[in-house]
Amino acid sequence: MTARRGSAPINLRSVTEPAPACPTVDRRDRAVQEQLIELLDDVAAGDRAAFAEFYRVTSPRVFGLALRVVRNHGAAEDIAQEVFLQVWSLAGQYDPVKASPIGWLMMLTHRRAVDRVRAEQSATRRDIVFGHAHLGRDHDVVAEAVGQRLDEQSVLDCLQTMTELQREAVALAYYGSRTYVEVAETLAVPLPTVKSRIKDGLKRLENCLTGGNTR
Amino acid sequence: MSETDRRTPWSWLDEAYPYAIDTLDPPQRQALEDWLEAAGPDRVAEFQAIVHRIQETMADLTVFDAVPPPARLESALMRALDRYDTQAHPLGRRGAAGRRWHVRWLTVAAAAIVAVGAGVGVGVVIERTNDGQGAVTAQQVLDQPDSRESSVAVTGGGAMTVYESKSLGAAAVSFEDMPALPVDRAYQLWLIHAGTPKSVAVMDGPASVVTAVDIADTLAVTVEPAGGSPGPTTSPIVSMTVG
Repeated sequence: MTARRGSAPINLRSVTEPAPACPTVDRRDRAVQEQLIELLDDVAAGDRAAFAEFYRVTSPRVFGLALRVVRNHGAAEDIAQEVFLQVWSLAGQYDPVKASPIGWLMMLTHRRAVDRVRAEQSATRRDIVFGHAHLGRDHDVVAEAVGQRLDEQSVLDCLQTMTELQREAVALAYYGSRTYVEVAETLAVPLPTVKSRIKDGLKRLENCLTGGNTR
Repeated sequence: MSETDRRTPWSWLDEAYPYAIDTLDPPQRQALEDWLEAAGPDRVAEFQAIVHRIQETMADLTVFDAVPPPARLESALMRALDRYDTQAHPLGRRGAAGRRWHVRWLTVAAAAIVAVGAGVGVGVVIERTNDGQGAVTAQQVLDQPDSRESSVAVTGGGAMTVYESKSLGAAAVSFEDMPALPVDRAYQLWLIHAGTPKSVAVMDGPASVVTAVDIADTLAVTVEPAGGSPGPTTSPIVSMTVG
């Protein structure tokens, strides 16, 4: 069973014991998800207008993630373009049962961005951006992003269910483009420790974001 | 609270976590994919389920990263799409079907698309197939019971092979062993319907293309300036009438 929430409002960032947040699914956004699935269906049939609409709705997510990983505007534009060309060619393979449109899109984007960083930069070079590899928001005001399933506060709250060390390892891996071994070297901890931190951290995060419905 | 760096027993399934966030290096990734391929579809499905859950989780996180791209990106993308649609795509008879299905999801980010159907500038609408694939693929054309194959030599060397299915109203066209052209020239494939040529593809290398066809349409290739021409400017080096 998950822990019960108290009746008083709790600022999870100030409590030491992680408590699962109850994620709020944004209904309006569910409509966006359905719209994106329909658009992908049309894109698979070669519909350029549907593709343009899909681009307009999702490009901030793609460009933003690419930018966060590669930290270079030109490279992020290249990656976004490559990702959307992939969308054009792979839309017929998209399966809404397996992934949300944004989940699929972020997977494509992250893979591209990470491959690019690893091809161009040594791990030493990536150390320079160590300080940027953190989870959560950079600033207080976040432009409203489409395709989110949960409200932002739920996501921020769920980040707090991870320990500081887990967050650090996940951020280095995901935003810092590091392999396991590189995360272990960066943090100067044994590889099995890094593996456990990443796995356990991701499990906690996922568990919280899904309201504890999965293992 | 105390740090929870407990050493939980590590199983093959746990590799789904680093796999999902692209934390394995390419050799590790490949080794894992090979292992899974050998382990069978049940394990692949189990593994895939975790991968997808974690990818959804990370997608939720990246909501904080959203940044609108510069406006020029959309026009650059649309230009790239024009080039992409007129480019050739590799064609070949695929290997055993059983080997391909999970390779597809594991390598989806790098997968090459096999063929283009609708949207290649051909004025014939291809009906959508009911398996969710929007475009007719070369493989579908090849697999049709009424699929016919004919080859014709190309002036200057090489051959054009046309796989044609009347039931699909589509043809898969591939080119073999054609000489490389100077960088400022490209092969251009035309579909001549009722006497009017329409560009199907501009090809600067070994190529294959799927296009909708009607009976009595003619497929022809000319050598054009790189990037292609609005209409043929030279005599065809090969042509074939379908149907």
